[in-house]
Amino acid sequence: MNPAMRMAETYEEKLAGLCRPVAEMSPMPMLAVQGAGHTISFANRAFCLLAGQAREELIGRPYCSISQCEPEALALLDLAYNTGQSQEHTGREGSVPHGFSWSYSVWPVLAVGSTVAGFLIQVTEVTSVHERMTAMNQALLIGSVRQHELAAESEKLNEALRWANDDLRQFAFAVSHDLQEPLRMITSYSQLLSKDYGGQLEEEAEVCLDFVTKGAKQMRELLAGLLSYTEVGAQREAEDFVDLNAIVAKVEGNLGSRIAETGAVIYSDKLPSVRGHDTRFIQLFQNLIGNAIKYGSESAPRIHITAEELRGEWRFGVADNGIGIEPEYHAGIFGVFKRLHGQSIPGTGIGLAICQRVVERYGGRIWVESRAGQGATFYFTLPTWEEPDGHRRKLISV
Amino acid sequence: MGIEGNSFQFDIMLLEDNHADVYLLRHALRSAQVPAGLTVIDNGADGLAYVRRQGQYATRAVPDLAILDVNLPKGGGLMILEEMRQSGDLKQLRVVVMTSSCSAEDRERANVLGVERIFTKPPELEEFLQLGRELRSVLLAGVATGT
Repeated sequence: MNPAMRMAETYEEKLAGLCRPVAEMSPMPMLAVQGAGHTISFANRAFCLLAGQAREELIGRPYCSISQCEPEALALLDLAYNTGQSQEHTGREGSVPHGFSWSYSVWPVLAVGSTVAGFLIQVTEVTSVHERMTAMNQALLIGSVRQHELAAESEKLNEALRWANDDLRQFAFAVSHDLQEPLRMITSYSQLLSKDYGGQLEEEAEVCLDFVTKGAKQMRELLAGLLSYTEVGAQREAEDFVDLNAIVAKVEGNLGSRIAETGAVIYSDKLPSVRGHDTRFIQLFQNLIGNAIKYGSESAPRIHITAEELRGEWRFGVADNGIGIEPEYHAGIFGVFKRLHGQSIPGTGIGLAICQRVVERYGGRIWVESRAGQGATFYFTLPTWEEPDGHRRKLISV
Repeated sequence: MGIEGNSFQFDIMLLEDNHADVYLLRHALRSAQVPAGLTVIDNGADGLAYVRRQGQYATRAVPDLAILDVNLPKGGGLMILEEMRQSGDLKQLRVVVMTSSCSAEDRERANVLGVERIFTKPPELEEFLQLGRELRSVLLAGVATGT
């Protein structure tokens, strides 16, 4: 054992009681080495973790034997040993685990007569903010590239869906539109036949002709319904601030003769304005109010239109005192051409399908609450609309 | 041109490819008691020849009215109308446009070029017969103004 080692031992013993527990608990990796061979005499828990080696594997071994020993660090120790000066060295990125940068601070432990007995080595993480940002940015970049790929993929799917929808709309439009033409011929000529030759036909021939005329008329109504159904959302329409009070007033005008015939009474709460196209809201209210009149019970139709704001959306209700709908049919009635009644109550079965399409187009939902014989309430929601000045229009109190 | 006895009839050029509609229109005119001789042209190429006074139409007199269907294969009524308004002796001809479906743009274009009426072919016979009466008033207005 050389003299320096002995002196260092003496020195260390003096401090040991005080320093060891502190060094042991330090979150910074710390190491003490002795002598020219830099034999490890102490390693704290943080260092063992950093080195990835057990304490027993470190104590008594030369510094150069540890797994993360860098030639630069070894040269640094030699330099410090020879000069007696403390030294610092910043390690290369990646030279220690986790891909961060570390610096080695080396303090010589001086024996009596200023001879270097050993060193205390502290390893400090010096990964710069810049490096951390770079690493994080890289991670983000990888993430965003992936996200971009996903977005592109979903854009492709959306595009395909748009095409399919466009095709379908064009198809439905063409079908409902182009079929009108030959149908017009059937209607016109069966009417012509009936008008000009009605008196000359045998009774059975007249009955046949009557069925042709009625069938053609029904077909025409179905096609017209299908056409207006496909027109909802067929093209991008300008959206505006639509006052639903005005819409209901307009609908009451449109249904004027039927309201008069049936003695229907329509009460409407003050309604808000919503975003959309006025034609669509006329379709919506006209179908709902029209149904409420059409499917009335024996007493005169009484219709109540309500609006309330619930959780950031409007919930509208169109309640009637009509014949009602049995619960098992509630879901089905919104389907295209779905009807619950025979020809005793005429209709095409497209009205509620149009209502649903309008409501869903504007991001809402529609449903019905009813029991047979107890009237029906059709509910639908529409998003509230922030006005350009940031204020949301509230119900105007009466 | 005026109404001169029983032999008189209006000379109408009709651009229409649907023969069922031609028949209905004749019927409507007859029902409205409009004496009319129709020159029926069922495609755009013949329509252009008529307007340009070419081939079999070289010596045709100027008619009293043209009824043009918008939707025709190989150039519909609006193309013929445009050609008509460019130059020639049909520049001032009274024109009625008839269509099974007419977009807002078509309507606008027809109005800019100058037409008496734009009719949508009605699905009900009764309305078609009404159309005959409307054509009658258009023709009589032409007689009154001498165009």
